[in-house]
Amino acid sequence: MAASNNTNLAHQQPAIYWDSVTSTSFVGGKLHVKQLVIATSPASCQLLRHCCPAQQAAGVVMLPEQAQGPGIILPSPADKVCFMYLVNDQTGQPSQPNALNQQNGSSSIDKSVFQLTLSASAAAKQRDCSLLVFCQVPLQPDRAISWIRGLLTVVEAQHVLVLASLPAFSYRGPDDPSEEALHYVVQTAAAKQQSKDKHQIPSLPSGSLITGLAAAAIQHAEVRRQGATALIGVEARPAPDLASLTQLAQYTEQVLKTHGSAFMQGDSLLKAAKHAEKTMSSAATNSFMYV
Amino acid sequence: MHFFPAGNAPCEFAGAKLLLPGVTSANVGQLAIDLIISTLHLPCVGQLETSCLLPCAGIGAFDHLSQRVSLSLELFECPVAQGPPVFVLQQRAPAARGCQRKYAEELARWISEAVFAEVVLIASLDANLRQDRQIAGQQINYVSSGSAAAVCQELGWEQLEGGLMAALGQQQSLLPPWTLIEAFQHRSITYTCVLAFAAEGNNAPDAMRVADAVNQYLHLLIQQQPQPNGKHHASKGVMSLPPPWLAPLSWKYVYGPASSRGFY
Repeated sequence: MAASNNTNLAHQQPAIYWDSVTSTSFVGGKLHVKQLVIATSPASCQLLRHCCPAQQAAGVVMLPEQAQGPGIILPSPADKVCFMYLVNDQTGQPSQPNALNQQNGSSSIDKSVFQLTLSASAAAKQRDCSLLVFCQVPLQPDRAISWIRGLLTVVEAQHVLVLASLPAFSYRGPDDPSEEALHYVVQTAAAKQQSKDKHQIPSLPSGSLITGLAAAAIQHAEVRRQGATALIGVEARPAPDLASLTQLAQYTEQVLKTHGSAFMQGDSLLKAAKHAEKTMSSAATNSFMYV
Repeated sequence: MHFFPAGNAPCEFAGAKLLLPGVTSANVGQLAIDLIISTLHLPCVGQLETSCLLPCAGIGAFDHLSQRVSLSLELFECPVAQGPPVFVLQQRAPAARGCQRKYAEELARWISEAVFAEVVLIASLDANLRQDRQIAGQQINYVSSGSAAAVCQELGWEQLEGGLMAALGQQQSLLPPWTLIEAFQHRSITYTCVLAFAAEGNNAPDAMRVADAVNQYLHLLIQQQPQPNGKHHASKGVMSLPPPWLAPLSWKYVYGPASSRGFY
């Protein structure tokens, strides 16, 4: 019975909820975006959060077994659900103006995720948008395939980018992760053909394997000849340093640029890396203060 | 379980043999498959997708496929001297929690629908399970469903003792290779299971031994690679193995990078 229950749970897809505005722009039952960026590591979540400060979630991804709080007031890094944000593919700004604020003339943020209104013309611009998914909840490896499948059933992207991490003890390669920041890329054959220019990011050394959401996304895309890239950071310490975060930011910008997106670039990258480093190092310090 | 061919042409499996590993202690089956693919430069003909295995991905597992993404379950084709080709399935990831039996059933169904003539399953058993008379001598045992028993005995293999098989089948009924054997029996699939006793550690020698045995059974045409300078070729820096075996590129850093010269 226990094994049967585990099997049933492993194959259960996540529940995905969209705000009323985003759901109106579905075509053929799918949301069409240029890039789907999934941040799965704490470093990438913090970096994207600081790079693209979007305040209004377009939707949430929630696994059935994850506990839900008394009500979603405002998305927060502490929530046990994965929030999704739509950003303009070129500017990185939120793609949905806050129509309620405009109507009320108020600068306050609407507290309800699911009560946004938007003009029809703005909805049509979804195709120039990228969808950022913050998978801030640690995911069991056996849930990764159903999670990815559930998301890719309702989101169609020209390219999928997954930002993930690899623990140093799983790394097999010529370099020393304790001495330098290491980031590698795993690309499907279709992604290599799609990219206009070649980036300079090294490929994952032979012998190292990625698992979890990044592997599930690559697997899903490779067999279907779709474009997907996993950008993997080798983690050798509890909190990444500024060099590692800066390299992650620069490599993410390179990958996005080779697929025609420009919402992460310029001075904002270094600032975002510094903010992320400050946030993560204080969180790591606090976690060690109390045993 | 769904098969995605690598090229545009469909694969013909009917009447062919399938070689596949069982994910068992010491991973000898998977290592032996890696050796066979690397030595024979087998082309990848497709991937199988199932939600029963944990996802994994890497790049460049083999010299001749250095830019290709490797996934959890991949199929390679090996031409043989006579008859239909042998297809080699490499499994890189274990089954997800609670999915061993379901995976075995899915795989058996796919094999049955593809009408493979025979399945050769290679796996390892913990060396601690050996009885006194098994400690010395040939470490290859077999379990077979049909007429292959005579061939196995000609090769000098010993049939796994009924008592040991029953005991392991009961104690480890939810672990490979027993889940796979049970699924094959349920679907009346002709199979031969090649079992090697091995202790966890550096299992490259065990993998070579099993690969040698499989080569004798399936006649995979493994010969020493001829080289202009007369030396056996191996990729630079990859583990050096006795001929005819070529270690795959993915074994290069299995024990980590070389120590820094600054230490000495």
